[in-house]
Amino acid sequence: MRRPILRCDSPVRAPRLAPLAAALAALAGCGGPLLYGEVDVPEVRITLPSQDFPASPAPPADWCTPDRPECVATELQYELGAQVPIVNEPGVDYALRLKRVAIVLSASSAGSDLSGIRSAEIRVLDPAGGPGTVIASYTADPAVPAPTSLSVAGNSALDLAPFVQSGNLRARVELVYDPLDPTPAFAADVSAAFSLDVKVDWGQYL
Amino acid sequence: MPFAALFLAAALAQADVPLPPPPPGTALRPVAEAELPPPPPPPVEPDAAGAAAIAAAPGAGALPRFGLSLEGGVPEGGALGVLYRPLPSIRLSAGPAWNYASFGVQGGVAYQPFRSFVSPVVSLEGGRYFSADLSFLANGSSGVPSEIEPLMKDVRYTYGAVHLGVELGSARGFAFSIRAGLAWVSVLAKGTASTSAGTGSGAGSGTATVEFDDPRVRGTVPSVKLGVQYWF
Repeated sequence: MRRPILRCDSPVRAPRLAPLAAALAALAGCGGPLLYGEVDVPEVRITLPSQDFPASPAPPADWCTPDRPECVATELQYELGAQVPIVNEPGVDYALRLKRVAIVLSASSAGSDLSGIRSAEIRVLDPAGGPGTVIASYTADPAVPAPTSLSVAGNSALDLAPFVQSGNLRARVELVYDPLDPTPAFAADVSAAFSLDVKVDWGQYL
Repeated sequence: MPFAALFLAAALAQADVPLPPPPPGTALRPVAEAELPPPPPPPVEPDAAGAAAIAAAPGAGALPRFGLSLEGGVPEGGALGVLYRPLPSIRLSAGPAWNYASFGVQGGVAYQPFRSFVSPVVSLEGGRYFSADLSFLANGSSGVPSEIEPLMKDVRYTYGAVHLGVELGSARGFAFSIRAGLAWVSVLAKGTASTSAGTGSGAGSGTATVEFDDPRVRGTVPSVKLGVQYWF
């Protein structure tokens, strides 16, 4: 005896739409914005020319802390809003990371070399205040007795975007001088190399 | 936009739901196969039959396997393609592309769930344009700053797109298509641009120098595409 069957027509074309429905559902569920833009600049170099650094020994106002006369500090300011205007655009989210920084004695500087510097630290300053966060460190290399430049790698793991306020990034350079090797005030070009990753959500403009 | 896609997905998924129940009195019931009229011969499923069916089907059932297409879209550019149908509902395309600035190559796959004079189509495609010199755009009248001219001498462009649309015409001759969807684009500008902007904080400082290396722009944008195809 033959098995009973159900007389029921099944749609022939409908199953062929299933892959399309699945693709669209996946597209809708990706999580991120559907319309987005991203600008990735592997290297942005900003050079601040002829930055003035105090002499050693320095007056107390230039000391890093009241108990460290051998350490003198100077502040730098990067006007990112003018130098990299996209970071000021509305709806933009970005990450800024320091790759390396170099302090190069200016040709017109009074000093002849940077041999009096034993070590250096560069701190990025928090807009809320505080001592800041160290993003690069330098220690003199005995093999280079009379350097005319200092170059160190930055802490590329730290996103500097939270430290930018009103388009400005403030940094502080702390130089520890050799007390036995007085150093005159000097001017140097400070060149910092950053990586920049900018994301824009286009969808919010629609 | 995600909601629109989700809504469309839900609507299409409805197509998988079995048809509504028949009116009262005609409800489904088990019947002995002996009560049924002789069943018609099983329909040939074109996809299952595959390429062999295309070649073997006589007369009106046979679809041409090869064709040519001419398409233009934003941001894909224009493309000339050779078409090939491995299955009646699937077609592959490949060929040269051009976007005014440079030449490139493109390829894709399209799926037509069924065919009639007006048929839906979903397609996936990708392409790559070779290095282009766009430095002619860096002048005062175009609005592109002259400082970035060095970045425009070697511009490379890659894209991928998914489209949904309709085709009007014959699967055996001419057909016109209009599609819209979403494209992913990546533009790499090789080189270094230098500008001067802002100042440092030192008393003797001058204008800061800013240099950019090899910027890359990626993102998704809406896409629309028109095309014609001819099968032979």
